[in-house]
Amino acid sequence: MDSGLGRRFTRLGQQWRQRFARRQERWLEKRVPSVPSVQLGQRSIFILPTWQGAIFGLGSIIILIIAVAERNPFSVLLSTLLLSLFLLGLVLCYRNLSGLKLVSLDQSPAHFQGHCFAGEKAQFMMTVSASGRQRAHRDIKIGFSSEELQALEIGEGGSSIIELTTKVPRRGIFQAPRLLLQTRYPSGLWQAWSRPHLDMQYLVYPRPTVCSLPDVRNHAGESNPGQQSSVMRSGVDDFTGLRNYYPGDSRRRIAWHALARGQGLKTKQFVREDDSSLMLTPSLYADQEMESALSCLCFQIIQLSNRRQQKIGLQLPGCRPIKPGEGEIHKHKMLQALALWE
Amino acid sequence: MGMKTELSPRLKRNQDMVVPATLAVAIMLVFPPLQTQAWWLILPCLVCLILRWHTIAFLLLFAAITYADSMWSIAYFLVIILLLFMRMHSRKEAGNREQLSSSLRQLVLTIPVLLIIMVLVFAAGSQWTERNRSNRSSTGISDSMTPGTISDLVNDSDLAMRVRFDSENNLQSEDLYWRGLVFENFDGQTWSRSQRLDFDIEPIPAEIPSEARLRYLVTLEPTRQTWLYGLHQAYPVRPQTYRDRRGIIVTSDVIRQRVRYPVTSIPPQAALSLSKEQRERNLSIPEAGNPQSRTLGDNLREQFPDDRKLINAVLQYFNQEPFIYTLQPDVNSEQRVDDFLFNTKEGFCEHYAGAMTFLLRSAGIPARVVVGYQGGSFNNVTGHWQVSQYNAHAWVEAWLPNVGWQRFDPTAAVAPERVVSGLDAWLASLSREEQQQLDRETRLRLFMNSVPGYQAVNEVLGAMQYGWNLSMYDNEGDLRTEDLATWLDRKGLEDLPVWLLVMVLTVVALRAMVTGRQKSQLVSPIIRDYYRLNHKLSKAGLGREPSETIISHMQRVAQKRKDLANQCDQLGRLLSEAEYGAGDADNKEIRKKVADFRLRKPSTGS
Repeated sequence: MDSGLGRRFTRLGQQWRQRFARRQERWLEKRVPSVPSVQLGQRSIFILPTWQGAIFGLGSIIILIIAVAERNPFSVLLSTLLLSLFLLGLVLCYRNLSGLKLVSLDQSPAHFQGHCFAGEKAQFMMTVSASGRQRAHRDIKIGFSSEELQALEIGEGGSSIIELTTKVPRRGIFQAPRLLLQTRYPSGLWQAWSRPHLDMQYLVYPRPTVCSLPDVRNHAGESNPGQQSSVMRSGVDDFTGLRNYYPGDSRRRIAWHALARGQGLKTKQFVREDDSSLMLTPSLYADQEMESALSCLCFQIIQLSNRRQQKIGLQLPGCRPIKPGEGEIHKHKMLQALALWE
Repeated sequence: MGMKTELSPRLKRNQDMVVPATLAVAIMLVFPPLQTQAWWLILPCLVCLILRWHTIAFLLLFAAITYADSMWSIAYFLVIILLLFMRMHSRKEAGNREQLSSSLRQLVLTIPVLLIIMVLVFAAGSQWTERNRSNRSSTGISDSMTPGTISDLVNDSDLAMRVRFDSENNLQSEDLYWRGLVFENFDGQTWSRSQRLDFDIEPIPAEIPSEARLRYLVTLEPTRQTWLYGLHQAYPVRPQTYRDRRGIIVTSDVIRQRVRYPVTSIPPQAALSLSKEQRERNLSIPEAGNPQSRTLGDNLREQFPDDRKLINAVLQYFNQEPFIYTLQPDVNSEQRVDDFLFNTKEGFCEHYAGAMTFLLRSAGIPARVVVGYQGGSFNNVTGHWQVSQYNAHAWVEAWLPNVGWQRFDPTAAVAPERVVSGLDAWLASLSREEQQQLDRETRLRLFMNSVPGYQAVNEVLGAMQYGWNLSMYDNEGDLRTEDLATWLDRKGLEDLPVWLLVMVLTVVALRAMVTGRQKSQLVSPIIRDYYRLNHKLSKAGLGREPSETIISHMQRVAQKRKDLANQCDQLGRLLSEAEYGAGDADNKEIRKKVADFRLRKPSTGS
């Protein structure tokens, strides 16, 4: 009986809360839009007394009235002092946030602050600086949500670089959430807060899932994706022997030891097992959903690029294929493609 | 020993200077200029300040501030406010200097705000006082009477007073005339009191037998006026309260809260002579105006040489002429008395009392108007009378030779049921149209009176309120804390509350100074256990080295002391798991293990 009704009420409450949160988000979006750098001002700072402050203000008004009624000038003076301290708290608390400059550390557009895998924490860096040479901002809490706030102190005219982390759930471009700055400086009677939205983006690769690479050697010789060929070519890795020197051979390959032993000019010969190039594609994991296939591909890219002499390329449906290649930059190019694939 | 050298400077830096300052502030209360301050509020405030219960601390401070009475106290409270704001500094880790500079800065910056508010308060304050003079801030009967002053009160069902007689009596509602003020001056429009007081400091005449004395206790609701009510000739027992020869009871203070006073009333005494000045005052009528009434007075005098017969004739006149007792009389013109007596013939008790006094005076009989309350409702539960504002009434007192002042109520001649069965009964007997003219609340009151059982419930509620009031408040309307104080005095413990507060303050302050908040707040219980263990180990020279972790420290101890190896390994594992692990460790068990840890003498050879 109670469970049914209770559940219905909780659901209704949740719906209302969500609706309210969305509405508030829309309102904030209009009032405090997302920008690469922001200076906090009247439009973006909100201030309310804390519970303690409300009691303090109300109490000081009440004793002021009592003092006036009792015609006690000393009490009037003291209660007015308390009331004015309360009101001054409003100004000081507001000033503690106002004028604060927040600048995303990487301001170039369409550039990511960094990259990480889904499920990891994204790190956003920003510079926070005082609004003037004489202005200090003390005891500010900053973070992405009220649960994880870190303390921030900025001396007169100073600035500091802060690093905020937040968990990213999904691959793609992660837009930094609204910041939350709040302060109860100087006496905890007022709380001022601001929700600026700094335009900061983070590149999120798919979460790597451990999986095995399907056996693609069977398809050797066919021009299938995942084709792998193994040909001996002259290379630089493995020493095989000496041959006579021909003009034009690299000096570094001259076998100086052999010359010293009086064997004449010889050239060292190397081979390498090369061109084990692999084309990765989601169709390798055709039995899985696209997202998990991308996760597997991500894992394979990381694994294979750690292996030497393995060139890998990536072919995603609807995208230009990435030619097999090597190196850190190449790896990130492929991971980015995975991250941004729609 | 490494641990100690590392910890001690940190503790020293965080030594809280507010605590010793608070103690100094508490001691300052001993100095003579501050001895009048409310120590019973200030000391608990300081205790809360040390304990960081800011909200309670500043609420107590607010209460204490209402007792400020000198420049010294202002300076004193400034220091407390400074300490309070140091304590309330938003950053918990702030050092003393930061707290002090922040609160000093606030105090300095607040001066302009303070000045602005002060100007506003004084501007508003002057407005208030001006308005107070024109508006009637008091409730109940006021100190002058024009037509309407009493009939307005009919719609006011607030309580005026409660009266409990000390002995059984068979007083009826119509016998209860609660005298308030006596109006002797009449300017043609308004009856008002003569401001001259003629104090009567004589005690109750001894010849009056005790059975003629009526003893009762009056509980008067706040009136914001300076007079009290009583029956006949009333002798109240209350500080700074005096009797006037006319029977007015005057207080030197304004009645701002509910007060209680015992009264002894005696029947009006025969006064054989009336002073010349009093006679003149009670015979004076304005030189001009109301010619018809004057003629009527003269005619009556010719007709009835005897005063008493004349008065009876006036009352007969009211009774037999078509006079109407009503709440909404026709508006009278300039000649108020003439209009009332000869044209409209409609009025409420103030009209009748005023007109009758005028007639008597013009006929040469000294007379005056008395206002107060008449009747009341008897509460069968506690046996007290409850008098409401709508019981307000006005009547006449006339001076008869060889008798003295005697009460005459013209209302009883016009509408006897008003006096005998009370105002509500009279209102209920009115026609429907007249009842429609009444206030909504009054109509509701009349309706509720007709509901069976309502009276009984009302009586029980009234009895409970009265009992509560009697038990919780003293005669001056203050909570009965004085009784506790006198009880303590009797036991020779008058300073006990001070000593208790001082003791609490000392204990709290010592604890705050010794333990140090930083240590207890920043260090988890597990680490405190570890400190305890380390303290034991360092006695044997096995203390933690500056760079060691808990585990490595314990391993080192285990290596050096084979006899402790098992215990140390276990403790090290438990401690570091509890501190850095998932957090499901059993703190109690660890504490017990640490407490049980004993260093035996190192076994020989190790």
